[in-house]
Amino acid sequence: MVLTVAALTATACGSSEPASLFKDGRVSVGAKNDQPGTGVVHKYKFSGFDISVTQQILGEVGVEPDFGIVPSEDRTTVLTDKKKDLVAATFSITTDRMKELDFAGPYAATFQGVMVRTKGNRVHRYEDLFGKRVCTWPGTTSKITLDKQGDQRIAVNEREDAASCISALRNKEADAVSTDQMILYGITQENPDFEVIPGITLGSANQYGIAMAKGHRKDCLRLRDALRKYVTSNSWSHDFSTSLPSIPKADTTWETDYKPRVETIDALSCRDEPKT
Amino acid sequence: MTRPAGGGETHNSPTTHGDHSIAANDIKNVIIKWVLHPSARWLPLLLACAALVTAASLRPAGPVGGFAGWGSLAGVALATAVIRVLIRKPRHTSVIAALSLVSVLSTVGGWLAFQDAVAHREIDVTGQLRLEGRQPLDGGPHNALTLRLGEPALKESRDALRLTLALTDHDPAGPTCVQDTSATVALLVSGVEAQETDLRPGGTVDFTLGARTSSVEIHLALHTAHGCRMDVRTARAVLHDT
Repeated sequence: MVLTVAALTATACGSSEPASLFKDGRVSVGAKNDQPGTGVVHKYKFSGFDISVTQQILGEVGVEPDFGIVPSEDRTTVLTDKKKDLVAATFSITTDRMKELDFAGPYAATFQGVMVRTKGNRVHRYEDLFGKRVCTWPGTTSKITLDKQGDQRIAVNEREDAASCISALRNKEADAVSTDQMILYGITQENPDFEVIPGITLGSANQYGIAMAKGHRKDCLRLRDALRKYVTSNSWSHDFSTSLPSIPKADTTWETDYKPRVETIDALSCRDEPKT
Repeated sequence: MTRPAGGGETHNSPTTHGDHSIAANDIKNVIIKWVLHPSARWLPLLLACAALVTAASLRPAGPVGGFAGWGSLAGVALATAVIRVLIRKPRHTSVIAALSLVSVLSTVGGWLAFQDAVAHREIDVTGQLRLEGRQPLDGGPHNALTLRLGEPALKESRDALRLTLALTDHDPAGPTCVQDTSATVALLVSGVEAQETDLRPGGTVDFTLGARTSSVEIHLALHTAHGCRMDVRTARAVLHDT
């Protein structure tokens, strides 16, 4: 009798965490479709660094990803509403987001930068943006950083998504696009008429993580361990330079600048707040 | 020779001899006589209660940890005094004497422990530590703050200040920088920085204060990654004796 009660109690306690996201061997993953180099869809096939990282670390835990498109502003809700199991969409780890979601990351770090039209460009430093229309899109830390910059001399032009800002830049409805440099370099790979200004960075470095809803800590820790292994192997550099060849071309210290440290992965992965 | 009230026992020890033994036996017999007197039945309890009420009304606000010794002794004093009261017909004189003695000694010991705890208690000065300087801080030109504790907070002298600092993202909706942030804190003594320590967010440092310190000034320099903006807040500041 006592043993039965103990067994029932143990079962009840053990079932406090929901079933593993990986139990079926497949997970749905939200990704970007309009960011060449990081997350893009060509002929119904996802590619980019977000996709490579996800495939590598899910492969390590023996799970297959099913990618689906997620807009920037919906990245949190698709997880909390259980429409996706994971999101790998240049999703920056922030203190606020860590309270709502668990992240395995960072798998890359990048500063926010500025992209302009190559032809006739006169923007070389931050002050050159004064009086210019800078396009960004909602649901991103880029928009927040630009707003926090509080510089009235820059006209922040908010559009629906990355594709809208690219169109606006091409059509001269915007003078620059501002978001993470990693995304901007990726965009220039398919838009050679644009260039990233290396000397302009805004705010602090964004740390990209693979996000999931709270309550799957064991799964998160498995992804964190797989990510640590991936980042310390040669695969990270290979996948990064394959997806984003424009970055090694422009930045000789790209591995130092974009590759996360293992200590940072430990500090930010699978936690409710950054480890101090 | 004094005889106990009801027992008919002689409390002189057969193993002691001389003037000292007679004096000791006299004291012992007086105590036993007093202890067994009906009026003494309630006395230990009254004494314990009076001490407890007085101490409770005098206890300063703040952490209760330092008053554990006092609490324990007051508990013992009350318990033994209550047991003493409940024994209406004493059969063993020594038990009654022991209960009364333990109660009275615990009351006295508890009072001394209370006085010691009051004199060396920890003083929470979190709200009195002023942060002077512009916030948020960055890793560049705006990376310094001064923390100052004025004379009113230091009116009771203590040996040390235990300080816990929270270093948080200025904008929690932006990229987090906590993992790349630390601070160097140094106590300013006679205009010179001393006891310099590096702190991680949420870390604690213990500064040794000089005798009769009338003000405390601590310099803080923040170290963080490029582009990061951080807020500094005193999570806890406690004056204590080492």
